[in-house]
Amino acid sequence: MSWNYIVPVCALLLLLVLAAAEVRRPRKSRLAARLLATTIAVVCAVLLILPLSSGKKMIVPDTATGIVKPVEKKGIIACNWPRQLVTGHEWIVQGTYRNTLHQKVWLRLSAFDTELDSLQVPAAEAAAFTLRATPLHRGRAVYRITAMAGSDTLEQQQLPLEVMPLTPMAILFLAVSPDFDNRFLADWLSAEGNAVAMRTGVSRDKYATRFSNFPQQSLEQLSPALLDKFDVVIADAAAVTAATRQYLERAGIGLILKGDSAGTHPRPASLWLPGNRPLGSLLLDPATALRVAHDALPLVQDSLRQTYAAVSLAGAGKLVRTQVFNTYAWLLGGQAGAYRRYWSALLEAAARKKQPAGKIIVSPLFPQIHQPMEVQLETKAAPLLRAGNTRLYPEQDPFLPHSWKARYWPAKTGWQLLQSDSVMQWTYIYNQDEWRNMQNITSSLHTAATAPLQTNTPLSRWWWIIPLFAALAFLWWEQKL
Amino acid sequence: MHNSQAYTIIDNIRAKWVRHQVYSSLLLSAAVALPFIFTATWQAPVLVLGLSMLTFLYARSPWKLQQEEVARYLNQTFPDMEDSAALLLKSPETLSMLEKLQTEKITPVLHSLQLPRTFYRPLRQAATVLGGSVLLCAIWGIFLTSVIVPSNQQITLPVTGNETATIPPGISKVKVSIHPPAYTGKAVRTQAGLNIIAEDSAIIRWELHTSGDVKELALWFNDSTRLLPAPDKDSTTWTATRTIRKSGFYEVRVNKVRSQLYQLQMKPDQPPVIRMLSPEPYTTIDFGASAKVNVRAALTDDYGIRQAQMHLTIASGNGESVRFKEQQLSFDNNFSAHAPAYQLARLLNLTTLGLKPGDELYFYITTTDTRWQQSRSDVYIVTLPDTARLFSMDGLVNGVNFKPEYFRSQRQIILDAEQLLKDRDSLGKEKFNQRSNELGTDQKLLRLRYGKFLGEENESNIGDARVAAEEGHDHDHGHDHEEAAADPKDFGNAARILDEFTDKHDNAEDATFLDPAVKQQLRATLTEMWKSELQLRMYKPQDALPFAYKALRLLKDLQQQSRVYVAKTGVKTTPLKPEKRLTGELDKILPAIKKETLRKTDPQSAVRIALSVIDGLRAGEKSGDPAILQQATQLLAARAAASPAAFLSALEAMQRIQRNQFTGRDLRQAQQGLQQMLDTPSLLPQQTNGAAAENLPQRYFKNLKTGSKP
Repeated sequence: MSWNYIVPVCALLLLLVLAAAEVRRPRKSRLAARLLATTIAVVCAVLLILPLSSGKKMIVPDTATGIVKPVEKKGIIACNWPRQLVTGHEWIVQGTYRNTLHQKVWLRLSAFDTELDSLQVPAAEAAAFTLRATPLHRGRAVYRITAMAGSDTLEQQQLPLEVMPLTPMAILFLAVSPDFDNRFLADWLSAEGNAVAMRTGVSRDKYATRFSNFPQQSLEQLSPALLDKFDVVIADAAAVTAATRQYLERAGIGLILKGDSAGTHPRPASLWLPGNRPLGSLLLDPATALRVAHDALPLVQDSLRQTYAAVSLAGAGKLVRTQVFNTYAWLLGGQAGAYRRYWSALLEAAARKKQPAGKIIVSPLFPQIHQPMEVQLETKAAPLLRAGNTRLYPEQDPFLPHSWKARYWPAKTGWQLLQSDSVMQWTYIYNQDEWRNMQNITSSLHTAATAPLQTNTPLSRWWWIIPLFAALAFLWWEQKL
Repeated sequence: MHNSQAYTIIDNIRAKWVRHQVYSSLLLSAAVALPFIFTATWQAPVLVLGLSMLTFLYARSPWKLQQEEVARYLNQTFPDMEDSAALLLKSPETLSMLEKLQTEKITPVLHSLQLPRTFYRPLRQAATVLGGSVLLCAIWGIFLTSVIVPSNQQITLPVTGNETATIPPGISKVKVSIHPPAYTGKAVRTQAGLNIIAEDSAIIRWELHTSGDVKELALWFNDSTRLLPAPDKDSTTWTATRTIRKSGFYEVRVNKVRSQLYQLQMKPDQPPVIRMLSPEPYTTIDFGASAKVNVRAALTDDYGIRQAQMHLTIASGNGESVRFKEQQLSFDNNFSAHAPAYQLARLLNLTTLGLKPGDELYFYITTTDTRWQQSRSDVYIVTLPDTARLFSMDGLVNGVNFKPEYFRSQRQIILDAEQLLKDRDSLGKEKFNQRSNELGTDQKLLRLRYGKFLGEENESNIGDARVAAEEGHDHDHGHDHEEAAADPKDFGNAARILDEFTDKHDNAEDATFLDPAVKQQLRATLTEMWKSELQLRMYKPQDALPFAYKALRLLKDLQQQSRVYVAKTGVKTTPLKPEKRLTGELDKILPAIKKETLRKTDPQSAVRIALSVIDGLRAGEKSGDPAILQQATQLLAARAAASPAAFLSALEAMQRIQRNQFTGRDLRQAQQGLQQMLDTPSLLPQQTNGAAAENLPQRYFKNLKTGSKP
């Protein structure tokens, strides 16, 4: 039984016992006053143990204009980060900090008491911040962001993060001739546990084949059933037929298409990924740079903004074109990091999206204890949804038959497992005093239309302590008379 | 009324007693409330103070004290009162004659009496209790601030802490003596702690004094070896000896009770380090420069250097007739002191070593430390170029259109300078200086010609007729210009005039005529010409020669480079017959099939998962995954064996976590250690998650493709 029931029941019993003692007392003068004082004392004691909270309007619209005046906030006024990350990837925490002090504030990102990244916010300024780290752990952990002025901690907030293990991909190489770059890439991918099949033309209608972590089969005819086994196809332009490309587009399988010519006048070019992430330099011919169409997104550019790899939509899938043919030079030159970044960017841009059996979406983004939380389940299976040990009963969306919604009131803070038959997901439930700034934002976005904006703030305990003492003092003093 | 004066005195004593009771209650409640200042809120101590004050006052109820009791107290304490203090409280009217007399007798006594020490005892006791409470709180506060580390700060791992390290129970005293090997020259040292830092191959002797009845005592090392110390005859002093060969940790088991883990850190003896200060790794001594090389090097070692030597190899001749001559040289330093650092210096005179132009000298330095560990430096090369080669016409005869007359000019300057030096005695000083200056002018003209390739502006040299004439040359590219300009057929030729008066330095062809590498080398050549000209102008043709030679060598290199390029262009291949291509029989050709199955496993995966398991424990979960914690502890133990100073405390914390006897500090320490041993996981491509079921965009796409209506 919950504490919320145990305490009132005990208090009621105590009150009965005390009242009986009062009635049985020989001195009957001021009996009513004594009974009242006893009742006040017991009630106040209960309220001390179980705090009462009051609803408070946070944002009051201006009565004349109806405009909601935003409350001037300080500290971390906006922050977001990926809640889930695949191991090895960079984790980026971004947000805005409003510094109202007249001194600099340090923002520190830390994991397990170790500082990972930090940044300085100038005095009296609202500045956007980006903190980066590569998480070392696997599984669930709570990182922290701390705002410090000198040695004073102004604010510390929790950043829950779940690091997922890698799931291997299946990649098909189609080449018209043996290629160094393909061979190095296939070696790397298969050593990391991915499935690789390679078809390399060696003469007319003769193909050398390679199967790493993949069952051996004929690759001469690229049937839809065969192509469906792959997530990405890396091909020379001449090695892939129009019919194959059409099927790839329909099935949503990514295609990385290598250009025809490596150029005749290679010169060193330093390459960059989007977001100013450096790759290192390679010998490339600027004449072979891609002309980026309006529907394509550049992936790899040199310092002169010449594009050497770009991604565009192709049917349900993605098409990546690249003009870089000598990435193995990075591996041979000891720049494995650049090699990994380059091919991760290309393969992730192209790869077919995984279709999970189910998906759970939680809103608001900062779910609080004792506040409603909406759980949206997308599944084709039966919507048996559980939050911890609590069974939830979702409601079906009237227009999307596979989408289900349920409301849940979290009863404890920390990691909370939401699961159905097909999917499970961990969600972090925050305490009520964490991420205050963000909770107001999310609640205002969410409940603006339906309910007045309220927050529950517990009343000060002094409201109960003072009457309790007054009642006890009266009871004690009355005996002296 | 009663005797008012005496009554007031008694009433004052009562009031004083009540006051003392209140004060002592206050002091006692303060003593009770004081420990609550360590709770986070300010309300708690105040509340406790009030509550305990009320309790004490209620328990004592000092105001209940009657005057009669005070009188009784006075009677009992002061015999002078003659048991009649109570009479003073009665009103005089009710007193009998005898009683009146008695009151008059004792009133002066009352005036003069001093309250005894026992009267103040409750207050003293309360003050003592408060003092004790303050002391305890102060000790606790110091303990808290020194031991509990705020959660957002880093834990500093104990480094050695030999003196402060705890001694296992059952052992009263520890004496560890470390005998470093003799070659280190270090003295034997003893310590009272069990954490040991010792030199490689040091002998360690433990002397453990036990306090109680000890039947068995053993030292267990991390590699599962055991050392059983030998007891003396009454089994109170146990001694053991071991030579340390690698780092690790150990524990002491007294009657099979395991102690904490202690560090056994070995300081390895590093091989000696050689730092070459001069010369450069590759030195060329141009003709005319001093044929001496100053070799300077610094040797350092952690204990001592035994010897150092220089190994020389002279390669002479070229082609197939290269001969090598090896030679060893020692340094002048005296190494008998085995000092840890030496500065070596030796001048190599190349001519006495027998080096001729065209020969090369390779040398390196080896050194041995007192542990007989040897190390050697990189190989350094000194070359004496063969000037005779520079004058050969080989490169030129092969037909390269790289302005051969310019090369000839530099060579001519060198020849002239050498001739000038030969004729020095016969010429006389004035003539010599004039010719040297003329050579300088030649050198300048040459430099200007090359400068043109780099787009440099010409400098005018006012008063020098030859420079003015040369500038005329610059605008068109030929030596026969003067004749051509005077050709009457050119009269009225607009192109000719334009050509003469147009500045063509920013001509596109000029800009791309040479590739950057060639330009860079040309620039280096010009620098050498500058230096050569400087020396010639200062009438020092001898000093100008090295620079002139270097300029010539660089030009020669330029010429060779372009020759290689030209040679490659003239390849002609047999024409292909397209109808014959790819028509062979390929039936019997079976291309290669490569099959392999590779599994990727992260050796540190258990440690990564353990980090989040411990994070769960920190958040208040009851128990972690024991299997994962077990694996992580094993990996951590392996690391702790290699570097105990960094990982031993984390290992102990992990072991306590596994036994479920941990504190928050253990969790932090364990995470710290695990995190320290982890590498950053490598980046790999990963598919993103799409929608779970068929969602709106997918439906839209399908209908878009088929064109059918839903």
